Amino acid sequence: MTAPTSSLLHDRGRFEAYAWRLMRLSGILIIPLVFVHLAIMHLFNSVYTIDYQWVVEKRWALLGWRIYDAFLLWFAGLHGFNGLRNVLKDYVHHKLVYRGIVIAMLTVMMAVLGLGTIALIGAPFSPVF
Amino acid sequence: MDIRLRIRRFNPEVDQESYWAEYDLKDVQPVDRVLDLLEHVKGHIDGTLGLRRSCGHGICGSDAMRINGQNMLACKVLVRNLVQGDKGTIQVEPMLGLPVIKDLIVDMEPFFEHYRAVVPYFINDDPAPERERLQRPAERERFDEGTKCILCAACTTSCPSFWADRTYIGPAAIVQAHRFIFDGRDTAGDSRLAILASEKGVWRCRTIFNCTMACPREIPVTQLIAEVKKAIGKQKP
Repeated sequence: MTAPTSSLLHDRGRFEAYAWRLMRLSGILIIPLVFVHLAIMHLFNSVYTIDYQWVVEKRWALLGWRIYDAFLLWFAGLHGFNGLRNVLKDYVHHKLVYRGIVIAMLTVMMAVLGLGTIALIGAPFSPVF
Repeated sequence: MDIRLRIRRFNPEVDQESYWAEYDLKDVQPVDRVLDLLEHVKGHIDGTLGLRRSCGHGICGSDAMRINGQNMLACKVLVRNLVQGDKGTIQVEPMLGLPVIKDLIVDMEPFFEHYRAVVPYFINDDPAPERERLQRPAERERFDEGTKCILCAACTTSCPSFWADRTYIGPAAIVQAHRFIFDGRDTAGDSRLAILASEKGVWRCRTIFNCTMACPREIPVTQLIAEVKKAIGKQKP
Protein backbone atom coordinates (compact mmCIF):
# COMPACT_ATOMS: atom_id res chain seq x y z
CA MET A 1 0.00 0.00 0.00
CA THR A 2 1.38 3.40 -0.91
CA ALA A 3 1.20 6.67 0.95
CA PRO A 4 -2.32 8.06 1.11
CA THR A 5 -3.49 11.00 -0.91
CA SER A 6 -6.82 12.70 -0.94
CA SER A 7 -8.64 14.38 -3.76
CA LEU A 8 -10.73 16.38 -1.27
CA LEU A 9 -7.77 18.21 0.21
CA HIS A 10 -4.91 19.22 -2.02
CA ASP A 11 -3.49 22.58 -0.90
CA ARG A 12 -0.39 21.80 1.17
CA GLY A 13 1.18 25.21 1.77
CA ARG A 14 2.96 26.02 5.02
CA PHE A 15 1.45 29.48 5.38
CA GLU A 16 -1.42 28.45 7.67
CA ALA A 17 0.98 26.61 9.99
CA TYR A 18 3.09 29.76 10.36
CA ALA A 19 -0.04 31.90 10.78
CA TRP A 20 -1.24 29.58 13.57
CA ARG A 21 2.10 29.93 15.36
CA LEU A 22 1.96 33.69 14.94
CA MET A 23 -1.50 33.73 16.57
CA ARG A 24 -0.30 31.72 19.57
CA LEU A 25 2.89 33.72 20.03
CA SER A 26 1.31 37.15 19.53
CA GLY A 27 -1.66 36.14 21.72
CA ILE A 28 0.64 35.26 24.62
CA LEU A 29 2.74 38.41 24.22
CA ILE A 30 -0.26 40.73 23.88
CA ILE A 31 -1.58 39.75 27.34
CA PRO A 32 1.20 41.41 29.45
CA LEU A 33 1.62 44.23 26.92
CA VAL A 34 -2.08 45.14 27.03
CA PHE A 35 -2.47 44.83 30.80
CA VAL A 36 0.57 47.01 31.53
CA HIS A 37 -0.72 49.49 28.94
CA LEU A 38 -4.19 49.52 30.55
CA ALA A 39 -2.72 49.92 34.05
CA ILE A 40 -0.56 52.90 33.00
CA MET A 41 -3.32 54.59 31.04
CA HIS A 42 -6.31 53.99 33.30
CA LEU A 43 -5.14 52.98 36.79
CA PHE A 44 -2.01 55.04 37.45
CA ASN A 45 -3.05 57.88 35.15
CA SER A 46 -6.29 59.13 33.69
CA VAL A 47 -7.72 61.40 31.01
CA TYR A 48 -7.10 64.32 33.43
CA THR A 49 -3.35 63.71 33.63
CA ILE A 50 -2.55 62.35 30.18
CA ASP A 51 -1.90 65.22 27.80
CA TYR A 52 0.59 66.23 25.10
CA GLN A 53 3.26 67.15 27.64
CA TRP A 54 2.84 63.87 29.56
CA VAL A 55 3.18 61.81 26.38
CA VAL A 56 6.30 63.70 25.27
CA GLU A 57 8.05 63.69 28.64
CA LYS A 58 6.98 60.38 30.19
CA ARG A 59 6.63 58.15 27.16
CA TRP A 60 8.19 59.44 23.98
CA ALA A 61 11.37 60.66 25.70
CA LEU A 62 12.29 57.10 26.65
CA LEU A 63 13.24 54.78 23.77
CA GLY A 64 12.13 51.76 25.84
CA TRP A 65 8.51 52.93 25.97
CA ARG A 66 8.52 53.66 22.26
CA ILE A 67 9.76 50.15 21.51
CA TYR A 68 7.13 48.79 23.97
CA ASP A 69 4.37 50.65 22.14
CA ALA A 70 5.72 49.49 18.77
CA PHE A 71 5.55 45.85 19.99
CA LEU A 72 1.98 46.39 21.16
CA LEU A 73 1.08 47.94 17.81
CA TRP A 74 2.64 45.13 15.79
CA PHE A 75 1.44 42.16 17.81
CA ALA A 76 -2.12 43.50 18.17
CA GLY A 77 -2.17 44.50 14.49
CA LEU A 78 -0.94 41.16 13.18
CA HIS A 79 -3.09 39.15 15.61
CA GLY A 80 -6.19 41.16 14.79
CA PHE A 81 -5.61 41.10 11.05
CA ASN A 82 -5.01 37.37 10.93
CA GLY A 83 -8.06 36.74 13.14
CA LEU A 84 -10.21 38.77 10.79
CA ARG A 85 -8.74 36.91 7.80
CA ASN A 86 -9.72 33.60 9.44
CA VAL A 87 -13.28 34.78 10.05
CA LEU A 88 -13.46 35.94 6.43
CA LYS A 89 -12.21 32.57 5.24
CA ASP A 90 -15.10 30.91 7.05
CA TYR A 91 -17.76 33.01 5.40
CA VAL A 92 -16.40 34.26 2.06
CA HIS A 93 -16.13 31.21 -0.18
CA HIS A 94 -15.65 32.99 -3.50
CA LYS A 95 -11.88 33.01 -4.07
CA LEU A 96 -11.67 36.30 -5.96
CA VAL A 97 -13.88 38.15 -3.47
CA TYR A 98 -11.86 36.71 -0.59
CA ARG A 99 -8.59 37.74 -2.21
CA GLY A 100 -9.86 41.24 -2.91
CA ILE A 101 -10.97 41.79 0.69
CA VAL A 102 -7.71 40.38 2.07
CA ILE A 103 -5.64 42.65 -0.19
CA ALA A 104 -7.68 45.67 0.97
CA MET A 105 -7.26 44.62 4.62
CA LEU A 106 -3.55 44.01 4.08
CA THR A 107 -3.15 47.49 2.61
CA VAL A 108 -4.89 49.10 5.59
CA MET A 109 -2.86 47.00 8.02
CA MET A 110 0.46 47.86 6.38
CA ALA A 111 -0.47 51.55 6.39
CA VAL A 112 -1.45 51.48 10.08
CA LEU A 113 1.62 49.47 11.14
CA GLY A 114 3.95 51.49 8.88
CA LEU A 115 2.71 54.92 9.94
CA GLY A 116 2.55 53.83 13.59
CA THR A 117 6.12 52.55 13.51
CA ILE A 118 7.40 55.71 11.82
CA ALA A 119 5.61 57.85 14.39
CA LEU A 120 6.95 55.81 17.31
CA ILE A 121 10.48 55.00 16.24
CA GLY A 122 11.63 56.59 13.02
CA ALA A 123 10.21 60.05 12.60
CA PRO A 124 12.31 63.09 13.47
CA PHE A 125 10.30 64.91 16.12
CA SER A 126 10.86 68.09 18.08
CA PRO A 127 8.32 68.66 20.80
CA VAL A 128 6.64 72.03 20.71
CA PHE A 129 5.27 73.43 23.96
CA MET B 1 -43.59 13.68 34.96
CA ASP B 2 -45.39 15.53 32.20
CA ILE B 3 -43.15 16.27 29.26
CA ARG B 4 -43.89 18.36 26.20
CA LEU B 5 -41.71 16.91 23.45
CA ARG B 6 -41.04 19.37 20.63
CA ILE B 7 -39.66 17.71 17.51
CA ARG B 8 -38.40 19.48 14.42
CA ARG B 9 -40.16 17.64 11.62
CA PHE B 10 -39.79 17.62 7.87
CA ASN B 11 -41.13 15.28 5.25
CA PRO B 12 -39.73 16.24 1.83
CA GLU B 13 -42.69 14.59 0.07
CA VAL B 14 -45.25 16.78 1.85
CA ASP B 15 -43.62 19.78 3.54
CA GLN B 16 -42.18 22.93 2.00
CA GLU B 17 -40.39 23.81 5.25
CA SER B 18 -39.58 22.12 8.50
CA TYR B 19 -41.81 22.86 11.50
CA TRP B 20 -42.08 22.15 15.24
CA ALA B 21 -44.49 19.37 16.20
CA GLU B 22 -45.47 19.09 19.87
CA TYR B 23 -46.40 15.93 21.74
CA ASP B 24 -47.61 15.96 25.36
CA LEU B 25 -46.42 12.84 27.16
CA LYS B 26 -47.81 11.73 30.55
CA ASP B 27 -46.23 9.53 33.22
CA VAL B 28 -42.71 9.96 31.93
CA GLN B 29 -40.14 8.53 34.30
CA PRO B 30 -37.05 10.62 35.22
CA VAL B 31 -34.85 7.69 34.17
CA ASP B 32 -36.46 7.37 30.73
CA ARG B 33 -34.09 8.17 27.88
CA VAL B 34 -34.98 10.70 25.21
CA LEU B 35 -34.87 7.76 22.80
CA ASP B 36 -37.67 6.12 24.86
CA LEU B 37 -39.80 9.25 24.41
CA LEU B 38 -39.16 9.33 20.66
CA GLU B 39 -40.00 5.65 20.32
CA HIS B 40 -43.17 6.21 22.33
CA VAL B 41 -44.21 8.93 19.88
CA LYS B 42 -43.36 6.74 16.89
CA GLY B 43 -45.00 3.61 18.33
CA HIS B 44 -48.14 5.10 19.89
CA ILE B 45 -48.82 8.60 18.56
CA ASP B 46 -47.40 9.13 15.07
CA GLY B 47 -45.77 6.28 13.17
CA THR B 48 -44.54 8.61 10.44
CA LEU B 49 -41.80 10.06 12.69
CA GLY B 50 -38.39 9.34 11.15
CA LEU B 51 -35.35 8.72 13.32
CA ARG B 52 -32.23 6.56 13.29
CA ARG B 53 -31.42 4.19 16.14
CA SER B 54 -29.64 0.91 16.30
CA CYS B 55 -28.03 -0.42 19.46
CA GLY B 56 -29.74 1.99 21.84
CA HIS B 57 -26.80 1.80 24.25
CA GLY B 58 -24.42 4.56 23.17
CA ILE B 59 -22.17 2.30 21.12
CA CYS B 60 -23.31 2.57 17.50
CA GLY B 61 -23.73 6.36 17.43
CA SER B 62 -26.70 6.31 15.06
CA ASP B 63 -29.09 8.40 17.19
CA ALA B 64 -27.01 11.56 17.55
CA MET B 65 -29.29 14.59 17.44
CA ARG B 66 -29.62 18.11 18.77
CA ILE B 67 -31.43 17.94 22.11
CA ASN B 68 -32.23 21.20 23.90
CA GLY B 69 -29.69 22.92 21.65
CA GLN B 70 -26.79 20.53 22.24
CA ASN B 71 -25.69 17.49 20.26
CA MET B 72 -26.22 14.28 22.23
CA LEU B 73 -27.06 10.63 21.73
CA ALA B 74 -30.78 10.22 22.40
CA CYS B 75 -30.03 6.82 23.96
CA LYS B 76 -27.55 8.25 26.49
CA VAL B 77 -29.41 11.26 27.87
CA LEU B 78 -32.03 10.75 30.57
CA VAL B 79 -35.08 12.95 31.05
CA ARG B 80 -33.90 13.90 34.55
CA ASN B 81 -30.71 15.34 33.03
CA LEU B 82 -32.85 17.76 31.00
CA VAL B 83 -35.90 18.53 33.15
CA GLN B 84 -36.11 19.27 36.86
CA GLY B 85 -39.46 19.14 38.63
CA ASP B 86 -42.75 17.54 37.56
CA LYS B 87 -43.09 19.04 34.12
CA GLY B 88 -40.97 20.48 31.38
CA THR B 89 -40.19 20.72 27.68
CA ILE B 90 -37.61 18.82 25.68
CA GLN B 91 -36.71 20.02 22.23
CA VAL B 92 -35.29 17.63 19.64
CA GLU B 93 -34.03 18.50 16.17
CA PRO B 94 -31.71 16.97 13.56
CA MET B 95 -27.98 17.72 13.72
CA LEU B 96 -27.02 20.99 12.04
CA GLY B 97 -24.80 21.26 8.98
CA LEU B 98 -25.93 18.07 7.21
CA PRO B 99 -28.86 17.84 4.76
CA VAL B 100 -32.07 16.60 6.40
CA ILE B 101 -33.52 13.52 4.69
CA LYS B 102 -36.60 13.27 6.90
CA ASP B 103 -37.44 14.51 10.42
CA LEU B 104 -34.42 13.61 12.60
CA ILE B 105 -32.57 11.68 9.88
CA VAL B 106 -29.71 13.52 8.20
CA ASP B 107 -27.63 12.57 5.18
CA MET B 108 -24.33 11.35 6.66
CA GLU B 109 -22.56 11.04 3.30
CA PRO B 110 -20.78 14.46 3.43
CA PHE B 111 -19.53 13.49 6.91
CA PHE B 112 -18.22 10.12 5.71
CA GLU B 113 -16.64 11.73 2.65
CA HIS B 114 -14.52 13.83 5.01
CA TYR B 115 -13.80 10.76 7.12
CA ARG B 116 -12.50 8.86 4.08
CA ALA B 117 -10.34 11.85 3.08
CA VAL B 118 -7.93 11.24 5.98
CA VAL B 119 -7.36 7.63 4.89
CA PRO B 120 -8.52 6.22 8.23
CA TYR B 121 -6.95 2.79 8.10
CA PHE B 122 -3.66 1.18 9.07
CA ILE B 123 -0.85 1.52 6.52
CA ASN B 124 2.50 -0.25 6.76
CA ASP B 125 4.26 -1.71 3.73
CA ASP B 126 6.89 -3.54 5.78
CA PRO B 127 6.54 -7.33 5.81
CA ALA B 128 4.32 -8.35 8.71
CA PRO B 129 6.15 -10.10 11.57
CA GLU B 130 5.37 -13.72 12.34
CA ARG B 131 2.92 -13.00 15.20
CA GLU B 132 2.00 -9.32 15.44
CA ARG B 133 3.39 -5.78 15.43
CA LEU B 134 4.21 -5.27 19.09
CA GLN B 135 3.59 -2.03 20.92
CA ARG B 136 4.32 -0.84 24.46
CA PRO B 137 1.34 0.22 26.64
CA ALA B 138 2.62 3.83 26.64
CA GLU B 139 2.76 3.84 22.84
CA ARG B 140 -0.81 2.54 22.70
CA GLU B 141 -1.93 5.15 25.21
CA ARG B 142 -0.64 7.91 22.92
CA PHE B 143 -3.60 7.48 20.56
CA ASP B 144 -6.04 5.79 22.94
CA GLU B 145 -8.58 8.63 23.07
CA GLY B 146 -9.08 8.62 19.29
CA THR B 147 -9.94 4.92 19.27
CA LYS B 148 -13.10 5.65 21.27
CA CYS B 149 -14.74 7.53 18.38
CA ILE B 150 -18.00 5.96 17.16
CA LEU B 151 -18.47 8.28 14.14
CA CYS B 152 -21.78 9.65 15.40
CA ALA B 153 -20.99 13.12 13.93
CA ALA B 154 -22.04 14.90 17.13
CA CYS B 155 -18.71 16.78 17.19
CA THR B 156 -18.51 17.81 13.55
CA THR B 157 -22.14 19.00 13.44
CA SER B 158 -21.70 21.05 16.64
CA CYS B 159 -18.76 22.96 15.13
CA PRO B 160 -19.52 26.56 14.06
CA SER B 161 -16.59 26.44 11.63
CA PHE B 162 -18.26 23.45 9.93
CA TRP B 163 -21.63 25.23 9.88
CA ALA B 164 -19.98 28.18 8.14
CA ASP B 165 -17.91 26.13 5.71
CA ARG B 166 -19.16 22.61 4.94
CA THR B 167 -15.91 21.80 3.16
CA TYR B 168 -14.00 22.04 6.47
CA ILE B 169 -12.93 18.49 7.21
CA GLY B 170 -14.32 18.66 10.75
CA PRO B 171 -13.30 17.37 14.18
CA ALA B 172 -14.34 13.73 13.72
CA ALA B 173 -12.10 13.22 10.68
CA ILE B 174 -9.19 14.87 12.51
CA VAL B 175 -9.72 12.57 15.51
CA GLN B 176 -9.69 9.56 13.19
CA ALA B 177 -6.49 10.80 11.55
CA HIS B 178 -4.94 11.39 15.00
CA ARG B 179 -5.57 7.75 15.86
CA PHE B 180 -3.25 6.63 13.00
CA ILE B 181 -0.80 9.57 12.96
CA PHE B 182 0.27 8.80 16.53
CA ASP B 183 0.28 5.01 16.09
CA GLY B 184 3.98 4.11 15.87
CA ARG B 185 3.22 1.02 13.77
CA ASP B 186 1.61 3.06 11.00
CA THR B 187 3.95 4.54 8.39
CA ALA B 188 1.67 7.02 6.59
CA GLY B 189 1.49 9.65 9.34
CA ASP B 190 3.37 12.32 7.38
CA SER B 191 1.04 11.95 4.42
CA ARG B 192 -1.99 12.33 6.68
CA LEU B 193 -0.45 15.42 8.28
CA ALA B 194 0.04 16.86 4.80
CA ILE B 195 -3.64 16.22 4.05
CA LEU B 196 -4.70 17.90 7.30
CA ALA B 197 -2.34 20.84 6.71
CA SER B 198 -4.36 21.82 3.65
CA GLU B 199 -6.65 24.81 3.48
CA LYS B 200 -9.74 22.87 4.60
CA GLY B 201 -7.87 20.88 7.25
CA VAL B 202 -7.04 21.62 10.88
CA TRP B 203 -6.49 25.36 10.38
CA ARG B 204 -10.22 25.98 10.11
CA CYS B 205 -10.51 24.94 13.77
CA ARG B 206 -11.02 27.96 16.08
CA THR B 207 -10.65 26.07 19.37
CA ILE B 208 -14.31 26.70 20.20
CA PHE B 209 -14.60 23.45 22.24
CA ASN B 210 -18.17 22.66 21.08
CA CYS B 211 -16.86 19.34 19.76
CA THR B 212 -15.36 18.36 23.11
CA MET B 213 -18.61 19.21 24.90
CA ALA B 214 -20.71 17.30 22.35
CA CYS B 215 -18.69 14.08 22.24
CA PRO B 216 -20.75 11.29 23.87
CA ARG B 217 -17.54 9.27 24.33
CA GLU B 218 -15.85 12.09 26.24
CA ILE B 219 -12.96 12.30 23.80
CA PRO B 220 -10.92 15.50 24.36
CA VAL B 221 -11.46 16.39 20.70
CA THR B 222 -10.06 19.93 20.83
CA GLN B 223 -6.90 18.66 22.50
CA LEU B 224 -6.39 16.01 19.82
CA ILE B 225 -6.85 18.64 17.10
CA ALA B 226 -4.24 20.83 18.83
CA GLU B 227 -1.84 17.87 18.90
CA VAL B 228 -2.26 17.43 15.16
CA LYS B 229 -1.67 21.17 14.63
CA LYS B 230 1.53 20.95 16.67
CA ALA B 231 2.68 17.90 14.73
CA ILE B 232 2.12 19.74 11.44
CA GLY B 233 4.10 22.69 12.80
CA LYS B 234 7.02 20.40 13.62
CA GLN B 235 7.06 18.82 10.16
CA LYS B 236 9.95 19.79 7.91
CA PRO B 237 8.83 21.92 4.97
